[in-house]
Amino acid sequence: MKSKSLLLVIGTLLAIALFGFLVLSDKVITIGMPEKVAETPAQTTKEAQAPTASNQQQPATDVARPAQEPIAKEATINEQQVNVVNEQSTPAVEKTTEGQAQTTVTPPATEVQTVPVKPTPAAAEDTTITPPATTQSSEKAETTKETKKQPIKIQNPLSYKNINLGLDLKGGVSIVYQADVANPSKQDMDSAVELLRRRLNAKNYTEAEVSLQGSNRIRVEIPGIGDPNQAVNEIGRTAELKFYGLTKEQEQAIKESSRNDAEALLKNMGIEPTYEQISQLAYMNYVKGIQDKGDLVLRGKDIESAAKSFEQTAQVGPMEPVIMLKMTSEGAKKFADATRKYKGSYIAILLDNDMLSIPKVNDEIDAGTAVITGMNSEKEATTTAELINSGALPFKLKDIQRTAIEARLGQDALAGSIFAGIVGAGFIVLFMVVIFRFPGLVADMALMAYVFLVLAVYSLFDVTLTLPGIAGMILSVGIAVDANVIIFSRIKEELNAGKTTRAAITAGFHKAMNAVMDGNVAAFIIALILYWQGTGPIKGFGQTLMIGILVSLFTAIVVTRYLLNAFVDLGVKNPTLYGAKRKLLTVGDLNKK
Amino acid sequence: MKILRIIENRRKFYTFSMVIILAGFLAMFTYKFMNHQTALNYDIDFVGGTVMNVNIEKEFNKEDIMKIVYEATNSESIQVQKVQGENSVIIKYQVKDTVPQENKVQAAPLTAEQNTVNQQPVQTEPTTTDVTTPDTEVPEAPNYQNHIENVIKALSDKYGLKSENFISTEDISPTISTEMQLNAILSILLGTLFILIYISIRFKNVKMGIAAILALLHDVLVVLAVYAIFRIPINNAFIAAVLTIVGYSINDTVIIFDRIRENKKLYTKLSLTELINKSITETFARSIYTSMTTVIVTTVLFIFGVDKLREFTFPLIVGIISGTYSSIGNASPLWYDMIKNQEKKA
Repeated sequence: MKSKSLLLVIGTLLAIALFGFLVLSDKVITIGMPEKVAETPAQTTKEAQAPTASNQQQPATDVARPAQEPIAKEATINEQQVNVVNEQSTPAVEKTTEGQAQTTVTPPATEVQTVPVKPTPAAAEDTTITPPATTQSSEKAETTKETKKQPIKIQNPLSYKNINLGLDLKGGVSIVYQADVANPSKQDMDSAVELLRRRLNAKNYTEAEVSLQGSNRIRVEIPGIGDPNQAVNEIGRTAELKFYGLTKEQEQAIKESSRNDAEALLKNMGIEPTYEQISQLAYMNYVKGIQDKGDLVLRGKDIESAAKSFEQTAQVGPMEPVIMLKMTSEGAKKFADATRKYKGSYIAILLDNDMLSIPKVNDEIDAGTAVITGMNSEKEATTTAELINSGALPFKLKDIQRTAIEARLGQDALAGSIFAGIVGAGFIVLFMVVIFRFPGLVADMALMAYVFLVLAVYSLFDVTLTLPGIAGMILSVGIAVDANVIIFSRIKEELNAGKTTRAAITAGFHKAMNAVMDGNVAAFIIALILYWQGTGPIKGFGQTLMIGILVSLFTAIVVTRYLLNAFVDLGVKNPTLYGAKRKLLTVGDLNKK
Repeated sequence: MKILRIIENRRKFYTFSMVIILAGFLAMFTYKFMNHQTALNYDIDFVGGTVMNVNIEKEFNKEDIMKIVYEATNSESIQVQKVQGENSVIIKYQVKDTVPQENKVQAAPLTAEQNTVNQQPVQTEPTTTDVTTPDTEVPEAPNYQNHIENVIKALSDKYGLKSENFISTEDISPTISTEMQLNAILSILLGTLFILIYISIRFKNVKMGIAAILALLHDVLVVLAVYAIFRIPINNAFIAAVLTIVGYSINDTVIIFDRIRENKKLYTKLSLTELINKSITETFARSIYTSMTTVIVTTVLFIFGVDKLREFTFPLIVGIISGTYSSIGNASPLWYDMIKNQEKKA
């Protein structure tokens, strides 16, 4: 009996320790000492070199381009037959802060013009950022591969590193989109979700998550980025390609009125308009004018595919990034009709509200292909082609909620909460020992088990930990302790009523069970409603609270019970150790008569 | 231990509770009708709007920021708050959405934010009145994205900020916030309903259930009073706080009721008053211990946690204390008042 109890106690403590070790260690446990020391410096130098090297490469290509660029650009629609002279390619407006200022907004001129295409600073930055990231990670992977050769590796599914952190703890952007139609069908919603997912992947946000919320909402979460405007607007675009036919006269009229309107509006507002302000506004008016007055000849569904390609758009000049469009057979026919009708006039190509280009039609085109020129960069060509390819959303998406948290703020919040959790737990451990003495100590062991178990459950069941989630977890520590408080108070009462320690423990657990269960069920109901009804952070709070309640029931009742009984077997049964009789610190001794 | 005389003193407990609850309503009333503000300090979760936390990195003038934001958004309810000890700023504003529905706060736009110590909305007015042009002339109706972009761009231009200076941005359109309000009320009602059902079944006593719910109502109102008096923003965390308090308080109440049920079988000769007093006394230590441990943890969280957690933990501390108080001083006495006549007859 005694040896069995000893085994039980040691076994339980070992199990808790092992659990703790697993939870607190890495995803992969390596046994045996890898010679890391030699390799770390090598790795860091490699990493340090990688970005600089690619930094040098990248701008070089960018810088080289504008030098050769100012050469007449001609857009061609269907290379073989026709030359549609692109008077001016209007680059798509990039919604970055720098982008807005630079966009050349002047409506197309009548004559062939030289358009120097400046690489936008934003685009240049973007292109340089990506390469180092990839080289870095591949380098890292190589080095870790090397280190992993000799020692034994064990996959550790319980590691705390498997716990997902919410955006509020690691920084990132979350947006909720709502379909701009009354009752979108489930099918449309699903395809919209799928589409957003594809767009995010194409933008290399592989960690991003897209989920359906309710019947008409989509939540997109992108960890890591803090600026809500970076890329986010692109993702929610309807992205429908539209071709508008315009006669020369129409185009001229729209252009004039848009500029006049812009000037008049700005004057009305009492602002001395700068050239940029006028152009910007005029451009918006111009696009709107085309959408209103132009003849919609072709739309997204007529396009079969789009691809980035290179083409020599000018007689003399470098190869330039362009987008090749392939039309469906029906689209080809429509396009042929349109080019016949608007021969000598214009066909504007718009993606949502962005003008991609407005080429002049020189001849009828019936081959079912078209080329969009005027891309600022290879990257722009790629993303635009991807956007066209991913297809148009079945409806417009409106963003109704958006949260962005800078990564550092998230990390501070996490660190603060962990610290608060440790201090709080420390206080509870002390409190329990002071008030309940020996059982308090046992409860503290159970509390350790509780903390490790909860963390293990989080990592096993893919719980995403958010700030309110941490609050829920810490609160459930309070609940876990509560069960023990009820039980130990009971045990004390039974001891004071004259029972032996063993009998008091049995009776205490038995009698306390009702109260503990009722209290926990009530709390669980609340947690369940929070999880079920709540959205976002509230849901996380409900979830961790539920897990906490379930785990605490196990540790506070099962673990403490076995441990206490085993300790009694081992001879720890002096009632004063259990808080009976001597009433120095306790308030909780209760009436015996 | 001396038996606590809870039932005999119940009127005092009731009065104390009523005073706090009424103080809350008085605060709401004062804000609403004397100061012409909203009764409660609704956060953007509930009325829609945008909150931005921006690290300016150098000394700045709040009025400048007000002006910049005003020019970028045309919002009439801009609040600018400096974060103490840092060169960062919290900007709050609401923009009339395309959604026709008017919000309560927007009804009194300029007066609505005089409570926050630091804002001078009036100052920005003279310089900018002429900028307000009818929406129709702007080519595209401004939507939410544009506002945020405009503000970010304007601030970046003025102070030379980078994207990492924009520490956090939160934006909620009124469409979703109305829904959140409804959802909040619904979850609280649902929670109470389920608790009522559970207790009624578990104790085979509907009156105990009702007494417990009344105690819960008390706790919710006390927490609401705290929010009203201290003008804590009512947001999503509020719902979580209220529901947690409901869970805690019900836990306390259930444990006392449980003891009453048990003692009723053991001591059949005790009068109802004695029975309740005895049960409360026996569970008193436990009630105090439990709320103490939880209050300790929440207080630590309050002291060391970040601001967002602080908004949540303060009402929680108050709520837990209130929950313990109401389960001792209100729940059982209310039950006593409901059944005392029956018992006498029997």
